Amino acid sequence: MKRLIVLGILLIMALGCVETSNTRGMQISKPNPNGSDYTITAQPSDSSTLTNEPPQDRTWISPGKVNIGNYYPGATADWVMTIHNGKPIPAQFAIGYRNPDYTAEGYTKPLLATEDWVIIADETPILAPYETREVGVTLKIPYGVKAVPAKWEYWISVIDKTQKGNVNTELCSRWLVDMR
Amino acid sequence: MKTLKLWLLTALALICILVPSSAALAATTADVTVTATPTYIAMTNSEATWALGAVLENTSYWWTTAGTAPAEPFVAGDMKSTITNTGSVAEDFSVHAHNFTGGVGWTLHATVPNANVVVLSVGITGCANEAAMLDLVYTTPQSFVSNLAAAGTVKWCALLKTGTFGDGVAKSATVTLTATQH
Repeated sequence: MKRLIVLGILLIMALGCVETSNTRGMQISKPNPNGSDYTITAQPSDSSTLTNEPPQDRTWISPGKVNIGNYYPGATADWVMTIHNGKPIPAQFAIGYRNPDYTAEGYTKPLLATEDWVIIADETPILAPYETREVGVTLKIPYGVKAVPAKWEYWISVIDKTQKGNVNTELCSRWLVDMR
Repeated sequence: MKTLKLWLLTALALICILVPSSAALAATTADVTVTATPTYIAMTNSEATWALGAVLENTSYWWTTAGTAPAEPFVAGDMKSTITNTGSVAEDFSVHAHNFTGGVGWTLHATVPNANVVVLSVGITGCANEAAMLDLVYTTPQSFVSNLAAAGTVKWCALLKTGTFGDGVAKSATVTLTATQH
């Protein structure tokens, strides 16, 4: 009987003390000691590898769309964007949050404060000729924020600041968020 | 018997402390997802510069192959620049512009040129006529091309209508084409 109880306690302790778990390439950590946030770090799995080889001599970004599902204020969602400099010279890029020009059907534009909740690891990277670089993008809405739309969209803009002329191009990645 | 009671109490206390946090973690793990499809977004625009030189008041200037008004509806041969979707998926393109800077500057207006106010419009192949072109307003993005397939192209032109001038200082403005996954 005693052994059974001890075994039960050990089992409960083992379940309660799990620090992290991996689910389909996504790592979710327990809340930090001074808050109730979870950290969700998603890494592209093998299936996320670009199937069509992108051109080396064209500037591109990837992915075109990121879907965040069942998000909630207090959670932190990380993703990595890939940026490629397709020019034979170094290029400085400007990466920033952007209010979308339009949204997917059923999605609304983001709250004004969203700009403060999107963190880009490096907003002005300088890429060497034909360099491909990963830049982390984090969505972190503070715990307790109300009135967040159920389905909303924001964009991450990437502009090559070394472009010449007065007709410039901008590449945007669309981030679609579904709230829990 | 006393020891057994002690064990039971300890077990109960541990269950009360540990089970709720375990359940919360499990729910979060199951619910939150971050996914992306393996696509890349890229585009080219063949003509990056429109240099007009000296311009006159109250005059229309076309950015076409001939520098004159195109046939209506607009035909590809008259268009000045070509947008190519060099990404891996269908893309949408929007366009926006900033007011002209230099000296007193020129403000973009949607319909009528005026004192230091100009109209800057863009149109693509197939556009019915000048009136059907998109008139660019300061920083307001407008849908320009929708659902252009990968490797697809579309040709476009522009029109500048000047008003009256407050000074003779050179002016410049930037037009930005934005590509997103459809």
